[in-house]
Amino acid sequence: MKKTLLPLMVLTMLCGVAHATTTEVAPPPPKPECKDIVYRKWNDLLFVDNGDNLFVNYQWYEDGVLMPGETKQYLYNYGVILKGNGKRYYAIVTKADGTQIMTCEYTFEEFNASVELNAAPRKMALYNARTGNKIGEWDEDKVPDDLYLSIAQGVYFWRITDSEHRVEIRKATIY
Amino acid sequence: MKKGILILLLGWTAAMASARLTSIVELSVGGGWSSLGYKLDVADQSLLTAKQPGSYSATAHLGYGLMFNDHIGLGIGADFSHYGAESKLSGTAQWLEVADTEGEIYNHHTDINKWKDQQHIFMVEIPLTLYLQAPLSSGDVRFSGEIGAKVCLPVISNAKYAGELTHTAGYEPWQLVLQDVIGHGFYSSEMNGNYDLSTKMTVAAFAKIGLESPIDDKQKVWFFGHIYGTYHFMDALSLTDNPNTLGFHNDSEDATMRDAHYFMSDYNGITNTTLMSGKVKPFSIGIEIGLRFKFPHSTKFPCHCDRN
Repeated sequence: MKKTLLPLMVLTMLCGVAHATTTEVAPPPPKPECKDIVYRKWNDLLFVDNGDNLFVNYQWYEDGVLMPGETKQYLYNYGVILKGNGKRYYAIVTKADGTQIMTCEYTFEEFNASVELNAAPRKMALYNARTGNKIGEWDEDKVPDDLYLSIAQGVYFWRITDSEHRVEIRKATIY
Repeated sequence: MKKGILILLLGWTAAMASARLTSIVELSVGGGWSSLGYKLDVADQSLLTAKQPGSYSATAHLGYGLMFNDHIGLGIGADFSHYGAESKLSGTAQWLEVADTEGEIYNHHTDINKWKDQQHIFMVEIPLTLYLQAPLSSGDVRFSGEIGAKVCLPVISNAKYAGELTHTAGYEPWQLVLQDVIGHGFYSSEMNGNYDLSTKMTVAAFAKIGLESPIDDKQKVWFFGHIYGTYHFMDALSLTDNPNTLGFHNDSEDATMRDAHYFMSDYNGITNTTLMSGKVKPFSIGIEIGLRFKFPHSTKFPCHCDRN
């Protein structure tokens, strides 16, 4: 269940252009003595994996500075977007026997991925990946070059039908 | 058997009718405890506790009766009564292995605190009463009892609910519990609202037992006190065909939160959930006090004619 780094996807449809790029920036290399147990959820929450139920106390640090009151298993900044702030986060975790372990640092990086379509799509439909509900559908003459949607964070997928009736499914994770 | 008893009763009362007829007009008010009779079944939610303390009962009565003698009579009247119920939920409702807004599987827990769902049914009732009265061994105080049946028509039926909710997430693989992660569906909220109950006419039986005592020298005005009980034989609620499972999907107006809780039903009242079992058969017990005005009919003596 280790989370992978997923890019923020920005869909840009440029008619007549044909390539797909995905940029993924890896977090900084862990320090040798640290334990790589900090993961991210959404764009604003970090947590310590305590799957072995070893840890009983937590203290989070930001750029090496202790964060007062941040003593939960997770670090959530109440809606303040952590993504892309460039700061380094880690935690000192304490086992039941008092042993302390420092986690590896985690830095949110800016991600940008664009999807450019080779040819004008004949039809596009956007679905919520969890519920299967269709968010919207655009026919050939109504597919815009640039599409801006106000939708909740989550996982979606595009169902794209090109002019030769070929169907392509593309996942889109919105942070 | 029942017909025979009825015939005997009617014959006896008809025979008594030739004796001392007395009209009575009575009015009374009462109050006590009531319930709507249904049960809450939380077997599917093992961390949830349900209590049903009931509600208050209230009744106002205006009646006319005809006593065939000192012991028995028949009456009819009009009552306005309240029946209620209260359901209290506490503990944790859980939805296991649902997906969060990232598609991650987790267990959703909703801690429920101070949750009350109160239902109220006000009815206009037409009682048919058999009066049973008898003198006691000493003084003017008499035994007063009534049994009967009444047709009951709900005129106001509604309910309200209120309580506190705390949504948390449990991710077992990481032994992670998220709370107060407000942007992703794990928040605390207070929820309250009203809803209408769909009710229908019922038939009830009632019984009253107590004492009466005159409060004037001519014994025309009597004070009485009863312990009463009423039980409705018929289901007073028109249930929906497909009640929802317990859920609080509508505890936030934020579309993101509602999307995060896509797996829940809206809360539209405890009576619209599958937690409710059994039929809604209101019953009440209580104490009533009232005044009874007695008007003896004029006595007819044989005519003595003097011919001259």
